[in-house]
Amino acid sequence: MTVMLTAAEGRNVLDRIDSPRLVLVEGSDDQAIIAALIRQESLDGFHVHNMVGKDKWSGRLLAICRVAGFGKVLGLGLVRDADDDAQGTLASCKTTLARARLPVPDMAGQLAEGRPSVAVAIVPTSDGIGAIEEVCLPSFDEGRMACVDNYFACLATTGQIRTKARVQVYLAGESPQCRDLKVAANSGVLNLAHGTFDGLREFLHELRSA
Amino acid sequence: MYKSLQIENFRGLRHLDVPRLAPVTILTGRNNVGKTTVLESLFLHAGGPRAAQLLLTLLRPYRQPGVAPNIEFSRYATPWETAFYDRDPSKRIRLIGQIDRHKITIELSIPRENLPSHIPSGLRSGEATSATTFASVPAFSYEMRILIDDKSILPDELKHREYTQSVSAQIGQTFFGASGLQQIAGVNFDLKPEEDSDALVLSNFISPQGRSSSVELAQRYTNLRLRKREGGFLNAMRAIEPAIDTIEVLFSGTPALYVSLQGGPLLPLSAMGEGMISVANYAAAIFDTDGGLILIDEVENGIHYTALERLWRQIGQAVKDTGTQVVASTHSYECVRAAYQAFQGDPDTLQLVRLQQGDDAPAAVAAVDYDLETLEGALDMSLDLR
Repeated sequence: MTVMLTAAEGRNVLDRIDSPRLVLVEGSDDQAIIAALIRQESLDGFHVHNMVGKDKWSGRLLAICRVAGFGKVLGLGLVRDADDDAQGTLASCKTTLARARLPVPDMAGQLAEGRPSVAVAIVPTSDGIGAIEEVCLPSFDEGRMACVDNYFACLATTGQIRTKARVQVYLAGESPQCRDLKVAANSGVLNLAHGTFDGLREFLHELRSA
Repeated sequence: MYKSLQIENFRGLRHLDVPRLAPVTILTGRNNVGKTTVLESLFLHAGGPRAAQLLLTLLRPYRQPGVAPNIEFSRYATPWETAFYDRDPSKRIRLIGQIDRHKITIELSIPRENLPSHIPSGLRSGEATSATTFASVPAFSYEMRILIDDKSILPDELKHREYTQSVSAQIGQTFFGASGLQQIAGVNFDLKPEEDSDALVLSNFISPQGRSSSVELAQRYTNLRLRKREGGFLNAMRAIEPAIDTIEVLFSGTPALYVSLQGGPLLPLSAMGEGMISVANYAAAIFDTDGGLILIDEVENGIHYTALERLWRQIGQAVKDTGTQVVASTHSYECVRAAYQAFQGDPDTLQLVRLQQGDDAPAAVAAVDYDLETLEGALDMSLDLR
């Protein structure tokens, strides 16, 4: 199961699109996890493009619409972090899609029919806060996570401990050791069968149906 | 100003729709995709009543100075057929341009009596075997028709009828001489009706092979001086050579442009680098063609990448000052990026059109347009725009 991977920066430039489904994500962690889920679900014909950040999606999407092969894309997916405002992120996606004259879904997870059909996924959920780390955290072993939290307590870390930091410490203790979610997804450390990934799984199947 | 262009059956393009042309349009795309053909289409269309004559100047086997018509060529196709898609002159060339609010169609065809079955075959290389052999490329002709939605913008003499003109021509003669195959240069042609109407839009086509002569440049600069518009020309030249003090027209046998750098002696422009000569051609054409159309093939030719942004700024300013439209092709990523940087904050002036394989018909070429925001997104992601 080959998933085409490209990025807005670096060597894997988006030259052309030969896959009927294109998923745009914010970063390399999201890209690796989405690609791993696609492989796990044995979904054919996916291309995942890393937009490298949450800024400049409007101009970048306009440019992507002009890349050779985009006219043959049947399903376009946008995966965005909710951060601290899931509704605001969805609204931003809608504006970006409208600017590119693409179909605009009313809500996250819904497929707006057209050529291509378009769906938006907000992670961790359409009414939550956070990012891809919040999706992954429930899949981690509870006992080992308790050790991670004890580690921070032992260090007497003050202030709110960010999810990203907890995830990094957890992954550092895995075997093989992983420095981030990208490596974890690629090395099979992530338990992708866990129900926490069901939302993304449904999103990908929705796109597959386009 | 040209807003859009449709091309049918011209050279390698069966159909191409260029949906938007801006005051400054950059054309990109891989080799042989049709960039020069788009420039030539605009050149012919802008010529209007002169299109059939102008087509003679664009016959590619003849366009490189010093190169004789390729004798081998005539074994397979006559040179004038290369103007037609699939080398099939039965498919008429149609160029549909929108100039401001008007849609104007120019059709070019070879009259039925001159279609290939009626044209004697050309020379075959085997025939040119001795110094006594002498033959000519057969005569041929084009016919042109102008269709227009509003005749009011046509020159006065053309307003009241559908305009059709034919041009028949014989391009040089080829013979086997002391130094091998040689060509007697020159094109003889007859016009029917015999009238020389104004072009629809005054245009200049500048290519690496087709620059103005020193005399023409001197004449243009003189025109600018007479109209006190040499300042823009000087600024454009300084964009690539800030050390320029003065530019003068001097007469030494023939008039020519001379340039002084940092108080040094006046030197002929022709002694300067390629980039200086390129920019002199661009600036002279833009400032001497108010409201016209400047077509530049391979605009970056000879110009260092660090000077490109300054050059584009000068072109942008010149376009604003003169109302001249510029369409330029390039293979250079630096050139595209420099144009974007020069026109940032001025979204209505710059447009990039990339010719690329079409999604629906892979064998066909499609024109994909990028406005400034889209261009920013593409450059930001290092998409291949060339």
